Parts: sequence; C-alpha cells; structure tokens
Amino acid sequence: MKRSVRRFIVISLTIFAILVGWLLIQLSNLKHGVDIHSADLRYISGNAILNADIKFHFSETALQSLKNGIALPVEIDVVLKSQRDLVWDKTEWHTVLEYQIRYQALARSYELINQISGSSRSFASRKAVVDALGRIRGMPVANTECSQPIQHCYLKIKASLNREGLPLPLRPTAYLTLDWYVSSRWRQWPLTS
Amino acid sequence: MAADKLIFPMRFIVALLLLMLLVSLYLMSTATQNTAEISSNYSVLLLINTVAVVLLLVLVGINVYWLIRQVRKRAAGSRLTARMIFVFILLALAPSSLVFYYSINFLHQSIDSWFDVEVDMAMEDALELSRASLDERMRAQLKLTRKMADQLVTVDDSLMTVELENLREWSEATEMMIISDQKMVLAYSNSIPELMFPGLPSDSILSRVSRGEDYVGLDPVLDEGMQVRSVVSVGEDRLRFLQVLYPVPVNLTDLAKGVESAYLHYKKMGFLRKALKRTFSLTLFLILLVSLLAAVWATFLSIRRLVEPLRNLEKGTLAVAAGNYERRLPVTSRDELGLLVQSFNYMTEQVAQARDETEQAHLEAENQRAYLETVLRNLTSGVLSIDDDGRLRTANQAAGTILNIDLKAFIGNPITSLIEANPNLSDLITELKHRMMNSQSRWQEELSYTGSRGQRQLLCRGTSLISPLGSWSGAVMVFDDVTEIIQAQRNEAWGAVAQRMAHEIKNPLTPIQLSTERLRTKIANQLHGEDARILEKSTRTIIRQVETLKEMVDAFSMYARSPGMNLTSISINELIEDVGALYNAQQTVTIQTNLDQRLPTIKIDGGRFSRLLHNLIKNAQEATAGHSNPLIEITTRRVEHAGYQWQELVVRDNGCGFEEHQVETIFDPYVTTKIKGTGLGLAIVKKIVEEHQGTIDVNSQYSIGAEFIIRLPETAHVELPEHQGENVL
Repeated sequence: MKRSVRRFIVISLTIFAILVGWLLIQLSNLKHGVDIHSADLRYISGNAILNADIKFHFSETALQSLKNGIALPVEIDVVLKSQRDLVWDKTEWHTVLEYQIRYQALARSYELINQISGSSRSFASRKAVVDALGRIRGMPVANTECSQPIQHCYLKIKASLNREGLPLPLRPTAYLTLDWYVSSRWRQWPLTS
Repeated sequence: MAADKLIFPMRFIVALLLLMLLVSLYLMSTATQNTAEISSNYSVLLLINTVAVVLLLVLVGINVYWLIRQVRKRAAGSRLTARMIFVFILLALAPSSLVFYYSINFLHQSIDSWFDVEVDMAMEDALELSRASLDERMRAQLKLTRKMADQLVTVDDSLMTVELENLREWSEATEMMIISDQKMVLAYSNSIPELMFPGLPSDSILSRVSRGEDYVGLDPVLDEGMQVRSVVSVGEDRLRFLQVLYPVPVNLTDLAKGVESAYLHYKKMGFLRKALKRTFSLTLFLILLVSLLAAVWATFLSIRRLVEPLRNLEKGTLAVAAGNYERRLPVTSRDELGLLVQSFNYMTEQVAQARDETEQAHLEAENQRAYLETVLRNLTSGVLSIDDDGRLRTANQAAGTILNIDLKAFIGNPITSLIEANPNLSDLITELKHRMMNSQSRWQEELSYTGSRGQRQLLCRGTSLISPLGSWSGAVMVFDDVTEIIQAQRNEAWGAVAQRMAHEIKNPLTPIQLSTERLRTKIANQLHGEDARILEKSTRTIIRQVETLKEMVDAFSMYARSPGMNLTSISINELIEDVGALYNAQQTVTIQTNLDQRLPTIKIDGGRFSRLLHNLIKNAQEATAGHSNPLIEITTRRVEHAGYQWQELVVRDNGCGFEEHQVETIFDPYVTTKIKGTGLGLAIVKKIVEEHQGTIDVNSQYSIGAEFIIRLPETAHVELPEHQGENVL
C-alpha cells in the first residue's frame, strides 16, 4: 500500500474517532431523556395488563415546538420475551403504544391522545400532560400468554420520542441534533404472577 | 480502478442504479410537498440519497486519484483526460452553482414571504376573539354550575340522581355528576343513555377545586367539536364535587376550531421556518450534488473510453518500437479514432509481413551461404574470390592447404597481402590478381610456383562475378594442385618406355651373349698370339657389356612392373636391422640406427620395402664413397599429422648431397648424378612409398649430406583415410 493511501486512511480514522468521542460526550451530558421507574405486567383473565411509571424529560426545544403547534409523538415499546438456554430469547409478542401530545391554543390546555384507541384527555398544564403520559395504569397490551412458565418470561420496555412522527421539515434536524433525541434504554422486569 | 470499458451487465447495473437514484431524488422532492405516504419515508429517502452521494464521491475520488497518478506517470491520454474533465467540471459547475444560489435565495424569500407581522397580529387577535367569546360563555356556565351546586347541598343522597336529571335538563347540559373526594361517582346524569363511562375530571382539576378554586375549561370531544367542563365543590366541606359538561354550539365550535387550526398552523409554520428552509435547501443541494457527481463520473467513464484508443496507440507504438509487430489494437469505436486504430493495425500487419519476408529471405540466404560453405569446405579444389576492390572475400580450406597459408586471417584484406605471408607465392599471387581483376570472361591456365614442397603445378579456372545491376563486382577462381597428377602421368609414360625398352633390348641380348661365347669357344683354338688375345679381349668386353645391359633391363623391368601387393604385418625396425646388417658386414660404410622401439607393426609389402631400403642405403653408400668416415643414419619414430598416426623413417648420410636445382627432379626416372647410375633408384623408392599411401621428401635444408624423410600411414591399407573420403565429395 502506498504511503499517501496509508496517510489518507489514518487521517480518516482519526476524524471518525474524534466524531464518535464527541458524540458520546454529548450523549452523556444530555439533561433530557426518559427514565422508566417501574413497569409491571400481569395476566388477568388471559389479558396482559401493563402498569408503568415513566418520567419523560423533553428538551426545551421540544417543549417550545409543542407550544408552537407541533404535536409530539411518543412510542412505548412493550415486548414479552421468554428465556431459552442455547439460543437467543424468544419474542412472545411486541406491542407499541403510540401517544401524541398536542397543544390546544383556544383552551390553553394540552391534549394527550392515544393513537391506537383514539381516546384523548385534556390537561390544563404541560407538566400534567407529561406526567399523565408516563403514568400507565391497567393498560391492556396483549391477549397472548407466554409460551413458557411465567418465571421464564420477562418484560422489556422502552419509551422514546418518535422522530419519524415529527413534521417532515423537522426530521433532518431531529436526526442531526441531540435536542430531539429523547429515549430510554431497554429496561426489563420479571412478570408478576 | 474500474475497468476502462464497462462490460454489458456492469453498464446495465450502473444505468439501473442511476435511474433508481433519479427516482429517489424525485420521491424526496415530492415528499417535501407533504404527500403523506412519501413523507413517512422521507428519512429513508434522505438516507438513500446521502449514501448515494457518498458512493458517488468515493467513485469520483477514486477516478481523480487514478487520473492524478496517470498524469504523474505521463501516461498516454492522461493530460487530455484531465483537461477535458477540468473543462467539463468548470462548464457544469458554474451554471449549476448559479442556478443553485438563485434557487436557494428564491426559496428562502418565498418562505419568508409567507410570514408577516400583520398576519401574525391578526391571527393572535382572531384567537383572542374566539377565546373571549368562549370565555364569556364559560363564565356564564360556571356561574350556572355554582348555582346548581348550591341547590344540591340540601338534596338528600337518595334523590340526588333525580335532582341531577332535572337540573341537567333545565341547564341543557350533556352530563352531570357528583364525585366524592375519592373520585367516586356518587350520582350521574347523562343526555346520552348509552354512554356507560362518564368523563371524570383529571386529578389536577379535582386538586384545584378541592383547594376552593372553581374550574371551567374547554374540552375537545373526539370528532364532535368541543364541550365546556365546569367543576365546583358542593358544600363548604369540599368533600363532594359537581362536574357539569355543557355542549358548545356547532357553529361556534366550527368557527373556534377553524381559528385555532389556522392559528396553530401559522405558529407551526413560523416555528418550522428555519427547518423548512434547511430541508428544502438540503433536498436541492442533494439533487445538485447527485446530478453533478453522477455527471462527473459519467464524464470520467466516457472520456476514458474516448481516450482509450490513444492509450492503445501508445502501447502499440511502444510494442512496435520493441519489435513486436504481432500486437493488434482493439477497435472500440467507429469514429476517426477508430479509423486511426484500424490504420495502425494495417500498418503493423504490413510491417510484420515485410519483416517475415525479410527474415525468410535472410534465412534462405543463410542456408545458401551455409550450403556454399559446406561445399567449399569439402571441395578438394581451392576456391578464392575477391571483391571489386581486390580484397579477399572467400577462401575455402583446400585453398589454404594447397597454398600452405591460413587464409582465414586474410579475409577482407587485399589479395596481395598473401605475399607478405608467403613470399614464395609472389609471382603466383601477382599473376592471379592480374587474371582475376582483368579477365571479363572465363579463363583457365596452368600456373606453377615453388613452395616448401618444391615446384607445384596449379590448374586455375576463373570467372567474373557480375552484380544484379550488371556491374563487375569481383571474381572467383577455382584451382587444383595437379603436381601429383602430372607426376603420375609422367611416371606412367616412363614406365611404358621402360617396359618397351626392356622388352626390345633384353630379347637380342641372350643371343648376342651366347653367340659371343660360341665364337670364342670355336675360334680361340685356331688363333694364336696377338689374334687370340684380341679375340679374348673383345669377346670378354662384349659379354661384360651384355651383362651390364641385362642389369639395366632388369632395373627397367623392376620400375615398370607393378605386381600385386603382398601386405603383411611387419615391424619396420626389424627390416631396417636386417638390411643394415648386410651392409655393416661389408665394412665399407657405418650404418647407425636410432629406432623407436614403441613402433607397432604395420601392414606393408616386405619385399618392396626391403628394396626401398636397399636403394636408399646403396644410394647413400655411393654418395659417401669418397668420404673418409662414411656414415649413414637411419631413424624411425611415430608422429601425428593431420589427426592420424604415421611411422616416419629418416635416412641421412654425410655424403655429397644434392644441389638445390636437383631437388625438384631427384625422384624422376633416369635422373642421376652418377656416371654409371640408371636414374631409377630413387624413382623406384618413391613409387614404393606411394604404393603404400606414404610420402617421401628430401630435406634440401640439410647441408651435411642428403636426408630423405618417408612417412607411412599406420592404417593406410586397412581403409582409406577419412579426410580423403571427404575430399572425394
């Protein structure tokens, strides 16, 4: 390999490493995000009922956009998995709970819409609607039971701002700036009998 | 780098990819126009086009790197390619950049023109007006709710539902309910009986009301417009709450919703103004970049294909310069460059054909030369040729052998330079040069010269060499040493004379002798005195002279007669010792022998060889007759000559020797230096030697007496020597 080509590769790798390092630092300093405090899935009469406490911390930019008529789409991924010995764990089912928060200029209130059921609720303050978004109580998420004994099954949950649900002009910016990266890591809990 | 010329599947794939890229660009630009289905895939389209841009950048980068290397290596066509690429990029980039710049400006100005302060204010005012209208209505309805709550304070719980029903109908509310502080519905009334689940107030509303603050607000009703929600406490203890939902008239709802929708859309667009500009700019930039990069890449491919014939021509020229005429260049186009390549191929084909013909002619000439050399080498005749400057061009081996000169060293030199090597040839060479340079036609002449082997006779034949243009370009001469042939012819003639003389003379000698003896016998008794003495003397003289004549005739017979050879394996040394012993016994001469005891036996005729020795010793004995200490030395040894083994016999004496002029004819018959000699002794010796395939020479340089050198081949009578066989060819 020629010296000029080697030099080009070394410079490219160095720039790439610097960019990755900068990105990791920025991610670690993020003040916004999603914390999943607790989650509980139990089967009642064959239906999987979810209770969860999730705390959403939207960035100031996202909250500003909400006030300016941008609806914030939120997704909560709920996955039931069963353990297997030799291969990776089996996904029993995967459900996505889709919500949207909207500002109502006329009533100066915020509306929380369940995108799947179509139901909505109004809240007088932004904090109230964000809190309500994260408080999930008795939500039926599936009617398929785990194929394994309940002690071998576990729940995985992840909540995030769905950037693909943002208005089109905002999506490139949402992907290129960290203000719109509002997401939790995957968390898992055992099933409650 | 990619192949210089894309093959069909690759070309098809590239075209397909470019087409897909164009479709992707089209979809992305369509997506910005808010087409719902395409908009949902906008990010994917953006990613695809970004990856395409990166790939095109890599491709163009590789091509640029390749081009720089080619220019540095000064490859054929590289500078032309660089110049064309540069011009194309300049021509494509300048207008594209201008269009892009003005498009972006136009786009930004268009987006900015959507927004205006007055419109902004109007929107705010419209919303405020709607709010004021709704607020007025809500305040009245809150007042009504408070009034109904006060009425319900005193109502018994068992009648509460009935009372609620009455109040709801009276107030034209859609729903009324009494809720405990534990959020339990204590009483409920609804204008829609089938609605099973009442719309409970949120915790924040209840918390607010429990603090003593009445609540009234607008709630959206899914697909049905809006409703007014009012919540107040019932009683002073604030343990129960009354919630009343009032409908908002449809016309009012529609107007308010319209105002709200327009306001929010305007606010959203205002918020997205920068993002919108950025997105449109990005889309436009991507389209420009993809178009430019694809065009540059396509330009690289097409220009390289255009320049390929030039590169091939350079390679072909170098190949021709290196002597490779077999290389044919591919004809990749039908334009003028293609014609040029075709012409080059035709030229190299013609050159290759000419070269092959030249090589063939050269090979044939070489074969002819080799054939001629072989013929000349194996000719027993000498061949010499000269060019038009009189320089020696050709000389075969036989010529060198005949003239006793290494002629190879004189090739290219004037023929007169041979005189320097052998001054004895001065007259011969001068004569030959004269003949060769001046004779225009064939000529033949017998020339003689004196060399180390005495007087030699050459039969020379020559002719001129005429060039293809008709001019004289030299001459060639063939010559043979005919000395031995002439000598043999002379010997044959002398043999015939001797045989006739022997026959004619010997016949009358016996009657003469017998008649003389009878005459002496018959008359001797009748004569006395002087007569008797005269008779006796005369008859004795006659008889003696007849005896002498008989001896002479016998010698003639010996020379002329050629009986068959009786070859046996004999040691020459033993023959010498036997013959020498006879002469040593006479004590008239001392014979000293120096014989090589390693000599093997040799197949010779013993009788003939004894005669040879007798003749030589007798000749030496007579030559040393007057010497006080006559001595004859006989030496034998084995020598190698011309690749063969020879037995050499040297006989020398300390007698009177020969004069220089006598050496040339010493072996001729009837040549003698003695008074009573027949002149046949040495002639017989030579004849015997030649009958044994040997050679005899007299050393004229030996000054003490005479020296004869005889050489006999050891295999002469078994088979002919190999070189003689070659000479026959």
